[in-house]
Amino acid sequence: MNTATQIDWLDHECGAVPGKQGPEPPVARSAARAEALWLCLYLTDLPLEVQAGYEPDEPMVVTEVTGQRIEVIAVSAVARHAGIEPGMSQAAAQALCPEVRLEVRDQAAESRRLDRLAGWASRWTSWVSVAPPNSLLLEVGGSRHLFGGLDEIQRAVMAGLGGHGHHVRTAIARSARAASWLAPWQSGIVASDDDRTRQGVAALPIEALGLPPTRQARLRRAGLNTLGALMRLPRDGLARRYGQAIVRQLDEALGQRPEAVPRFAAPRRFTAEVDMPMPESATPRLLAAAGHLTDQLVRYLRAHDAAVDRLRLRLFHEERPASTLTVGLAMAGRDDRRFVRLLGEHLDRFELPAPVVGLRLEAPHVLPLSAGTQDWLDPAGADDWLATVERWQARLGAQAVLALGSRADHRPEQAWQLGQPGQVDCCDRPPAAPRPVWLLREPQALIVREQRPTYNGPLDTETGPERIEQGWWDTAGSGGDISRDYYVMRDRFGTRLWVFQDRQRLGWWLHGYFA
Amino acid sequence: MSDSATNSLNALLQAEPRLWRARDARARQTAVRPTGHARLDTALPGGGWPEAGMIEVVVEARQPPPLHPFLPAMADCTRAGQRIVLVDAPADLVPFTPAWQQAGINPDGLLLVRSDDRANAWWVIETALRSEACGLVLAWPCTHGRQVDVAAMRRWQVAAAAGRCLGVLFTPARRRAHAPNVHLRLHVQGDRLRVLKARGSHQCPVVSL
Amino acid sequence: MSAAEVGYAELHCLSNFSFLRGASQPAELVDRAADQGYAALALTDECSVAGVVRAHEQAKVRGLHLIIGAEFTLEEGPKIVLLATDRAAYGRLCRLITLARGRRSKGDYALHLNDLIDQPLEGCLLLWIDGDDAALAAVTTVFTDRLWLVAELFASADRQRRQAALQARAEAFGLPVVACGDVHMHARGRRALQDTLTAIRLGKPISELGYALFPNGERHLRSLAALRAIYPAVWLEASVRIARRCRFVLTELRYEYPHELIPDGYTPSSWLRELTERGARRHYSGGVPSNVRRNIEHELGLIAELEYEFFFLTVEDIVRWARGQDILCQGRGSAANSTVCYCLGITAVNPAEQSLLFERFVSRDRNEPPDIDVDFEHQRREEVIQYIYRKYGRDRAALAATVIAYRPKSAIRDVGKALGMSLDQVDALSKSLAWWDNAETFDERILEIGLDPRSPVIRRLFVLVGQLVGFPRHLSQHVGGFVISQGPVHALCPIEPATMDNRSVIQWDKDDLESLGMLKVDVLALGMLTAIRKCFDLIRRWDGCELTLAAIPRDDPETYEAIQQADTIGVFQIESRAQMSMLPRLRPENLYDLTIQVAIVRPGPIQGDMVHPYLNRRSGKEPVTYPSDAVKGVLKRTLGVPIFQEQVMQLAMVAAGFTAEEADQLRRAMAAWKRKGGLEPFEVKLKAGMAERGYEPEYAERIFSQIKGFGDYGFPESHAASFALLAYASAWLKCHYPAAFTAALLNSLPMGFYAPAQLIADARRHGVEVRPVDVLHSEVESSLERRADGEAVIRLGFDRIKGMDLEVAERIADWRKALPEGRRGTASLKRRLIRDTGISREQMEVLAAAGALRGLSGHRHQAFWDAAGVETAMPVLGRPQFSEGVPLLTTPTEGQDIVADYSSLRLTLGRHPLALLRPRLDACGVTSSDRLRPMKTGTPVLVGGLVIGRQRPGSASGVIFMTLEDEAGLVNLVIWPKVLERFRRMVLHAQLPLIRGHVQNEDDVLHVIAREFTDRSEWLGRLSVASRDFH
Repeated sequence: MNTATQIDWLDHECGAVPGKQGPEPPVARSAARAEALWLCLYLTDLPLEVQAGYEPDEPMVVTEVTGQRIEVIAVSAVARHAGIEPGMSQAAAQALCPEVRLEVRDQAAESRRLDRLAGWASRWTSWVSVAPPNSLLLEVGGSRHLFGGLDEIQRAVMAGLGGHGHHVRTAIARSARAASWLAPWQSGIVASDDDRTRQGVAALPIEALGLPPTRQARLRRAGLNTLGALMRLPRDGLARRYGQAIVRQLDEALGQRPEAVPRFAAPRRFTAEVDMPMPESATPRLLAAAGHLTDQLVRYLRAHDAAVDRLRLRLFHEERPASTLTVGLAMAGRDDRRFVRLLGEHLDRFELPAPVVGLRLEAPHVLPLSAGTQDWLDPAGADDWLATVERWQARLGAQAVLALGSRADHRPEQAWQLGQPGQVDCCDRPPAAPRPVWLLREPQALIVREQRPTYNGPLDTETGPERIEQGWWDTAGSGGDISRDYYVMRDRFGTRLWVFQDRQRLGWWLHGYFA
Repeated sequence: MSDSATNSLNALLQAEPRLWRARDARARQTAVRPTGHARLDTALPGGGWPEAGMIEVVVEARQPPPLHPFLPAMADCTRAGQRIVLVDAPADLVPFTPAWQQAGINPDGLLLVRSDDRANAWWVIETALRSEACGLVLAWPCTHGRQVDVAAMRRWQVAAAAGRCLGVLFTPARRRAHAPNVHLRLHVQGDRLRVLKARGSHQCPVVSL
Repeated sequence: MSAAEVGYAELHCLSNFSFLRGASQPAELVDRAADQGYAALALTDECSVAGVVRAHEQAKVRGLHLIIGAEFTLEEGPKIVLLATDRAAYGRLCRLITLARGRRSKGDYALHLNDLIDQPLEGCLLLWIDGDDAALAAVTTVFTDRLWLVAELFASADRQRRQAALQARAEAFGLPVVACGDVHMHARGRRALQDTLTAIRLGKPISELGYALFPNGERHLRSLAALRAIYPAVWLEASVRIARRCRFVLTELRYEYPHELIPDGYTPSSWLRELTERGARRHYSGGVPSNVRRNIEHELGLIAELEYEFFFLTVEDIVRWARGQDILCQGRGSAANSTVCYCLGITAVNPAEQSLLFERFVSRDRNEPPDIDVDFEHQRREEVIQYIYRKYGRDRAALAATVIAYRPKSAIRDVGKALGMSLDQVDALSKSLAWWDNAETFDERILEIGLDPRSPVIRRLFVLVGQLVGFPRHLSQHVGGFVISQGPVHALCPIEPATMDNRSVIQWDKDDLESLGMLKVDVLALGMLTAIRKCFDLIRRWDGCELTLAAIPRDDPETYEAIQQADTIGVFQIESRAQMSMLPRLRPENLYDLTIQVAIVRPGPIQGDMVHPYLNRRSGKEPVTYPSDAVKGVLKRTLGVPIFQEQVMQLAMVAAGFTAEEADQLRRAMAAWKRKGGLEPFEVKLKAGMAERGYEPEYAERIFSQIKGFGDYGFPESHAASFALLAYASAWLKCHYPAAFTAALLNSLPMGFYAPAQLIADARRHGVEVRPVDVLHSEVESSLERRADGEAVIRLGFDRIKGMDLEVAERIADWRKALPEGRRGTASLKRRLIRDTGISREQMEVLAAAGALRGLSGHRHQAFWDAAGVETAMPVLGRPQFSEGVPLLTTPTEGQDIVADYSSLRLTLGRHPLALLRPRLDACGVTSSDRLRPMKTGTPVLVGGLVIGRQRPGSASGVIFMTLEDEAGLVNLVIWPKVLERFRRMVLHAQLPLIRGHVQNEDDVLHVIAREFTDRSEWLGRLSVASRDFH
């Protein structure tokens, strides 16, 4: 058997992996600066663009919760036209434009998208840097000639990003800092030498520094409205009054001090492949081969202190497209036996279209091991149990295996729940009043004779009534607002029943058994 | 027999529950779990439910599956951190969690499984019985008109023994087709429990719970 | 007695004074208990008796036996109810509540089991609701023969079991059992509200409350039949027996005034006479006129008859002490304008100048204490309060409570959250239902904020909000109503801590006190008295002239001329838009005219349509006639038009045949009908009575609508007279000492209708120079400077500056005074200021922002640069010194300076912002305020300016008055509801609106009636002008 393993560096669609930017950011030394030119790509609408189903022509805002307030942080052009501005409260936005679509900011998606774009942008330069929350920096001084000049690069990058559905502002300057300052304010500027960079920076309003509002206000009050005004000031006085950082950043922007620009490194995901010695259809042999792959996966995960929550097994056939088995795990993990067992369950139920010539195991989401994924790692039976449950789920479908929960609610219909194992809650304190072990899914109308309910004949009252009238506030349908008198009754066989008289609809109903 | 020899034999007996142990009172004691109902304990051979094994409960039509004989055992189970699985429980009934909690059962340890065909049902019951994490399996094998056969029963016996698990099968009385070869066959109506058959006993006591 | 007839008394019942637990008003509970035929009802709010007076009043009406008690949950866990059997037991209960409340901060309490055992709680019956055996055993020894186990049974599954358990426990302890209801609401229909209150209390939506909600609505006052079905007859009977033992009635409370005010050798009567005589000799140096003498004798006689001497002496003592401390004060209220009060110095209004009957204020027929409110300088009232505490001790003096009730806005917010609506929706709802909305436009408003008015949630919300509004939310302190007593106050009513440190309040509000006939002295704060005091001080320092209220010359023609021209910005009471528009029509010529002016521009007279008849009669356009001689007697002084509250009462007596008692009930109903309703019986009686006596129905209708309009705002003549005196005094000061008056107003803010910018603009219009804040000249407060020509000039104080630390300001003022004569260079002064005052960088920046460093730094940019350079002083090394390069800073433009002025001082002494915008405004065709004056009614105009005020008089049927300011003056706008509907947003939010409309120019009063709004606020750039809205 010939096994080939690789951990490859992919350039698209990845899960979050720790340490995506190298630990020590490379520094653009002044010596290397001679040629350096930075292109900043400033993605104005990134929080909008990563939202599913984003349409530029519909009114839409992205909001973020800050303290008690829900604040608008990104606004589509149409919404902006309606008067909505970033910084407004969600309520204010709705007041201005009731039909505005509201979405919650997805920072993880934004950072994934930036990473992906960074990978894509690597085609123009070897030095791409991600500048959160919404910019990319490309060193194009070295590669400008390969691509037909700065304008050509700028045009191509813009066209490419436009193709990805991104709205972007760009700037080219001699330093990364200057480029990122310029892009939001002077889109399209090409400050390809020191003088032009200096002029461009000097014309910027101090807002470009991105200072906290109070610091910004202090500068403005002294009549310092542009970076040019700052550049004219004595440096010692400026640093003493408004902070060393401003002076340092200005120096960096103007090329008087080297700047640190972290180089983007594409994140990883796991894949491993194995070729079968001959086309194979038998599950045990396929599973044995897959076992080699899971073994490697587990070693890889251990080494990276990571776990996976999904596996993808690609089965290659001769002269047919590959088949894919996607295996979801009930809980993220890295247990070898569990992987094999799960793959086995799935393989068992999978009808192979043709014999298999090779296998590839992919783990598309490599997750850092966290508290949430820890549980199953402790062995002793629990792991075995989880495996059993996963096998049932695999074979019968997730809906066939359910856990029981309870809710604190006086209304019987609302006091229990079913759900996926591990995802149902339980209320610790059940009510004190008697409750039946079995509840009828739908209350069953009882025949009333001589004003008494009957079931297998006349019923004897044991205790009651227990009046439950609750749920006036519930908008749900049945079992929402109820008003009932419950009794414990006994039929002629001695079976204890839970029976209620409905005070709204009148009539008697069987609702459960104390069996 | 010396004490040490007895001990080692006991250890062997406990380690291998499939060994047939005749009417050794001590062996029986080790192989049962208390039902939680004092009168029932005295009526049952060994003084409780089998630690591992199969019980059949015959259920009358229009009557709910009688759970109360098993509630204390179920509570013991979840307290010990063991799981309980309900396989193919009647679809029109809901295990009403608050009541189960009142009985001391931790719902976290409960799982409901619904099978689509007989093969899967048999498989689920078997795997559940075999799993060491699972202490009690309540199953309704006759759902959809299925019949319990000797072969299945034998497999479950073995699985229950291996997993140290008690299996309770609820079967309808009207079919008169009992599951073969169970440890205990019970009939419950209201508070009256009648032992129809107990392995290792010819008595058919009636107990009022 | 057969089981079917056994009666019941509810002994455990919470009202909505158990905040966020009880879901019914005390009166609702009383009504329901009476309707159900209960033998008695005990109101047992949790550690509180705050609701008992309301219950007592209703119980009187319904003839129900009301028992007073309280529920407690002890720290050890047990839950109990204590009931008071007699007066002494009630006092002990009050003391227990006071003790429990005093241990915790406002709203909470702590009671221990030992308190029940250690306190002498004789006469209190103990109902044991819940608690362990050990605790129960502990109390059985103390509460022998007055302890019951409480059975509270509801339709619950474990009822039988609980009943058996109780029975067993009762036998074990040898205790009787009594049936109780744990009542949280009067009827089942409050179930939803009760759940909602629970949700509010626990701070979670109802849907998440689970078992914290009651499972059903059984905790209401159930029918006797239902109770008989559920409780054994003996248990029910026990409740009736207990009720019989509780004989205490609130009316037994006898209140005693403090005794220590009487010197040895005097009786209260003789001492009051002595003080009155001394005062009379002071006021009438030429001998007491005979009519005054007659009044004094008459009043003293009546006071002695009703034993009110202590009340007058208490007030006199407080006022005398305040005078001694140089605290300005003035009495008002119904009894204040008596001759005795004039002699005692409580008021400066000479009753001889009016013809008021003392009986109107202190009545034989009404069992009600006299009413005297004393206004003190706002900023020094605390000294008076502390004096009262010092003099009588903390257990003998306490503030009355004010019940803070749910208002629509707070109710919507809380109910919305309880129903699980999002914070945004709740926010939007409570905002949209602010002052301008009404029921007819409800659907529209709801749609406007993007919700569906038909949705069940919204419908529930509004039902619940309707129920919740008016529910008490917490007890706050009354503005100044003191209860002072001879014995401890807590024997009358429990005292609990207030939010404010060193304050405690009793659990009753002023209505409660009044209905029990208990005395309270109102120690109120009045900003205008502070302003007048400060004005006197400024004048004294300016020219040594010692002024007092009494020393201000009466009937000064110049003052009245200014008043007639509505030149009254800053003048007490007559400075509002509505008042100012009335002045040129009414043209007051003397104090009595002013009294009428103050009273007439109120909701009562306006809604009663009394204003125009009075104006017409006064100007002779309409003959002065009276429907009868009896009415003439009442209304002669006001030209036949009823204006004052007591005139309406008297009218009811002479024209509709009301007795004095009925007239008084009418007065109370007048004050309360907006909250409680209940005016209908009076309407019928009044109209019938007047018809019977031959009055036109139309006249009766007018009188009645005036009664309704009075509501809470009606002015009795005595109040109006006291206010008129202050209005005159402030107008006189404004007229003769405009600089000192404006400076005094600035130093007394916040008060009145106008912001500093308007007051200063008004002073400048009167030719007063105002100089900016400057570290080299300013004091902490605004002060007067002498100009070369001897004129007084206002120098703005540091307190005008936003963010200024006034301690630092004081240090700067002191530092400057200590500077040696002879100016030095500014650079060295700058360094010395920083060094000598230890001012922080932040405070320097605050000064720079205000332009107060111009004398040291030059322009603002430089000032900020300098301020930013201030280093934090090091403890040992002092401040580091730096020598650094000279910065190249631009000079701010005029516009930038104006923006900076406004953001720091909220005013500018530079050009008005509108002056900068004038070219743009001209281009649009905007008429400036000074060019409006000669325009005739009906002229179409376009006006614009900064919005400096929006007012919505409660009386004026939805009209909004808006005041705009431009560089030349003010423009007054009238916005009718239709226009408001169309331009709501702009009317409410625009800072610089342009308004198309037409001029209305009558009797020298000029308005622009608005028709169309355009918002041009963006022209102001970053200039932000706060308007003073809706006072």
